[in-house]
Amino acid sequence: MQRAIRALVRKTFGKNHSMKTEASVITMSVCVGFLVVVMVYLSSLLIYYAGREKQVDYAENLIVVNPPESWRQFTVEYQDIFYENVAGESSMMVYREWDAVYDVFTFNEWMDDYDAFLTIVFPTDFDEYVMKKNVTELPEILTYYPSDHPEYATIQKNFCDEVLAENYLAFIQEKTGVPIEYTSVVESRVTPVGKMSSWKQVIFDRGSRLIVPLLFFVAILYVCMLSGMNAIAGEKERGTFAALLMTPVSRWTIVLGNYIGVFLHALIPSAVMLLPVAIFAKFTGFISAFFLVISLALFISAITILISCLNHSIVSAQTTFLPIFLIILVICVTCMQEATRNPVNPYLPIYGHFYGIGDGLMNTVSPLPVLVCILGTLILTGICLFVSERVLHKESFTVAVETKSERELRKAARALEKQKKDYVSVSRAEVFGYKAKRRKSLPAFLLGHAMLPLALLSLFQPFAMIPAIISYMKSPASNGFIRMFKDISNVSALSDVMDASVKLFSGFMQDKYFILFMGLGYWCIIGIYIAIVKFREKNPLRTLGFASFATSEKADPDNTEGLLPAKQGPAWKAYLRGILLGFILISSVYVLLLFTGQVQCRGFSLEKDSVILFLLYILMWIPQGATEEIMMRGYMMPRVASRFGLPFAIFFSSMCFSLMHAGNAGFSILALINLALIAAFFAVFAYRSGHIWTVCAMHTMWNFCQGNFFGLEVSGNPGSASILSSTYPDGARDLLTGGAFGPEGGLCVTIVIVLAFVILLLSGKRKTAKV
Amino acid sequence: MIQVQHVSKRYNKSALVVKDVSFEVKEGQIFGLLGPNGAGKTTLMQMIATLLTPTEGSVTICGLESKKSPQLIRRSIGFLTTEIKLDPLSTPDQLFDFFAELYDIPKELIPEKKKESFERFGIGPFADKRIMELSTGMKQKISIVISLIHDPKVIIFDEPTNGLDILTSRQVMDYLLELKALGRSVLLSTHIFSVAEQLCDEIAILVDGTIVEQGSAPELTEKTESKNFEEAFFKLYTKYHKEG
Repeated sequence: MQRAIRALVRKTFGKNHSMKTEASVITMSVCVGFLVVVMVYLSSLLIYYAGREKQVDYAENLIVVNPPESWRQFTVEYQDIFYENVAGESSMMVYREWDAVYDVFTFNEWMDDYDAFLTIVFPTDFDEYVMKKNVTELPEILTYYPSDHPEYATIQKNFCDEVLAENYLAFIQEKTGVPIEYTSVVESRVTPVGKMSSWKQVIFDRGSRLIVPLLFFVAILYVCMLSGMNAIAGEKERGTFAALLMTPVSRWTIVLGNYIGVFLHALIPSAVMLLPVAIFAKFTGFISAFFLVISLALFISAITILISCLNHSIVSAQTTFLPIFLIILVICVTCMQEATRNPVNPYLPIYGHFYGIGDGLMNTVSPLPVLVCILGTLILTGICLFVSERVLHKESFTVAVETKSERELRKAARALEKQKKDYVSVSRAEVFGYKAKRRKSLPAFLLGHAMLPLALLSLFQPFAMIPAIISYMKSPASNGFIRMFKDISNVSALSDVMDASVKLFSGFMQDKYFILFMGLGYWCIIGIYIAIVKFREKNPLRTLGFASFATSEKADPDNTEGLLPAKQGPAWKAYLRGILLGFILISSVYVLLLFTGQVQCRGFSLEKDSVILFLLYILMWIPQGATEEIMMRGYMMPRVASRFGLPFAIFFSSMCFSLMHAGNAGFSILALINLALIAAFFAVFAYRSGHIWTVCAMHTMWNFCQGNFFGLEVSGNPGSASILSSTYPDGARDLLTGGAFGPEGGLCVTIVIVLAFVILLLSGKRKTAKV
Repeated sequence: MIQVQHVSKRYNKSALVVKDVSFEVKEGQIFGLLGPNGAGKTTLMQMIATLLTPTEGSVTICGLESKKSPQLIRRSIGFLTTEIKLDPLSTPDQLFDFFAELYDIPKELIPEKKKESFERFGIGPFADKRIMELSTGMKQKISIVISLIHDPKVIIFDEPTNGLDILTSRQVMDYLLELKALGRSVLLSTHIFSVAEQLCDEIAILVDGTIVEQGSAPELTEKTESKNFEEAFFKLYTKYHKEG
């Protein structure tokens, strides 16, 4: 048996084991990418620390924001208590004024600048409020502390318990003579403000706790995957495994021989990396790290052998292993966060390995968790090997069974028959010359189409909001908004929060950066759609509705439904036509509103200050209109039409478009219908013209004129930086004007769009008659 | 040497691939299994070679029951099938060494044995080339050498002349006759009549997983009142094969 095992081990080091597959290349790139991200993160930390001039162990000072008079008196009178519980002799108290009491960004900066360990924030009207004789509840006092030393949290707690809750409260009661209940002091943690002793120490600490364990993991995982999958699954794939099974060696021998081979492979990188560890770590630390690495290699090798036994080819084995690989990496990432380190984790395999290796390097190792972790790992390893051996007794995992049952054959024949009739072979309707190439299951198809626009918008819009949110947090207006979250548990408070959020978002519409980044985000989305069509579908851009006009001429004779051929001309002419049509459409709505007395025009209103915002708006509406058209009409409509026919495609894309706006302020049933009508109008228009250039421009112009020309709301978002100023007089009725949603929520738009629709359909018929 | 008793095989939930097959191969006999593709020859051979377990029935080789002691049986059989391939990146030399160790052949005997068998098949000049660089015939010869590395008493060859030219086929057939002369039992499957007719002492005709007739080639020809063995096979096949 020993001889056979030796032979098998040697075999794992044979030439076949350098074989690389697609899956292993992907995994390799994932590993490298992962390491790069971690490195970038760490180097950003290092730059942060290295750039700091102060190298003080602990922060010393205290910041008090909006200090009320009573506080100043208190600190003078009760100096002893104050310094005993909170600060040292050399501490300094810094007084600052700031209206936005939840502005963590500013407090963070201050604590950094003043070298402070605590920030106490009073509401601006604290004293006036407290001095009201009938007050029984103290207003909220906020405390912020940096999170890099656990001691700061203790100080903060001490401060809240001893100073604020007891002495300061008593002090105020004494002054006002009314018993006051101390209820709410919000504990806020500010991250990341760090004050480590020296940045060299930071490098060493982070390096040995994060990087080194991670390197061990990645190296062992990768090497085990390569050699483990080649060992048995590779033999099966090459057809050489049966020869092995025919020899008189037992299944145990086969499993053990391959297992030891894989393990030895894993030891090579481990040994290389353990050498530097031996130099830096102390003896006990090194020993524990050594055994942890060995047990990790044993465990991962056993997993790979088990997976190898279960699969018939290298790629399938690697694909099976990939989720395990990623789960282990995710565990590593969670281990990298201090916050997740709980008392149980170090005893568990994988977690324990990650912590243990880092602890070993930093010489802070505790033997019990390491021992328990290694023992657990060995048991798991044994189980894996046992199952592997059992698996090799099963025919289905050893000899490839090629005989298919008749039922399977019939099933395959039926599927083929079905394929001949399905949408990829026979397109239900061809829009923009699109023909489906790939099959997708029905739920995946519909969900994919419905979710893609949502996913992209919700990816890019939050990015655009970041600068706006930060500047909002720095304004006092944010205080009220954040307070609302305190009693969010009851329903009415929740709806308040929702309303306030919607209002807040409307406020962002006046933020220059928000508009700018929104515009950039829309360009990105357009880019993504183009990439999807070009590189994933491998279709020409014409199928996205961007007909170059040579092709659209060609496409028109195929227009079997007898709809009008597009007015020919270069793309920019089509776009200009869209601008004009869009202007006519929205102006008709405005004129209708004006004549029915639902809106009053107050004349020109664009001020000098808002010229830049106005220009940014124009730059934003151009990609915005185009993006929504590309999503709904350019991409979704042809693809849905090819599977379900044109009517359903128009209905589906219009409903998607309409529902996408459901979260906007003032959304109503009428708004839903109107938006769907507008969408359907654009859809039919785009379908007839054979491209989306014109509707892109129409959409852009429609939104721009509503918001920045007439000064009305655009789908629930208030217009700003508008050329004209419009107001609703007292007699205006929401049914006509659409209320907070803007004209799109009112009957006037319904009338105009229905009229436009009728004209579009009639003009189509007339032209066909000519053709 | 080989006793097959009422053996049936079913893969997962499919229909029976081999149905109630029984036969015996005696010492120094070449026994042929003749049948068209998909008749169940390979499955039957794999069951006899312990790679698959019979769903029903039993296989006994050299007095050992295959379900009970497969490891011992593997010591005394040499199995060759087209399903089993050779590692494309290894050389015949390496493969010989590898399998010699797995079969636990004493170290000192290996070089001598290797030289002898490589010479027998003219592998010598190719001993250090990689398998992927060799011709089909050469690969087959190496497979034969490796499957017989431990000098087994029972030899099970599944389509040994498949894909080989006439010269190499001849070589293989001669070798089988030599083995027979040495008293080995040979179980052979083929779909080539001439091979069966020339080599086998006894032939079993396998149609749709069942043995429909058994006997020597002249016996079978006589029984079916045919002109030659080939006609005998066709008669039997059309008689027993059910369409669909």
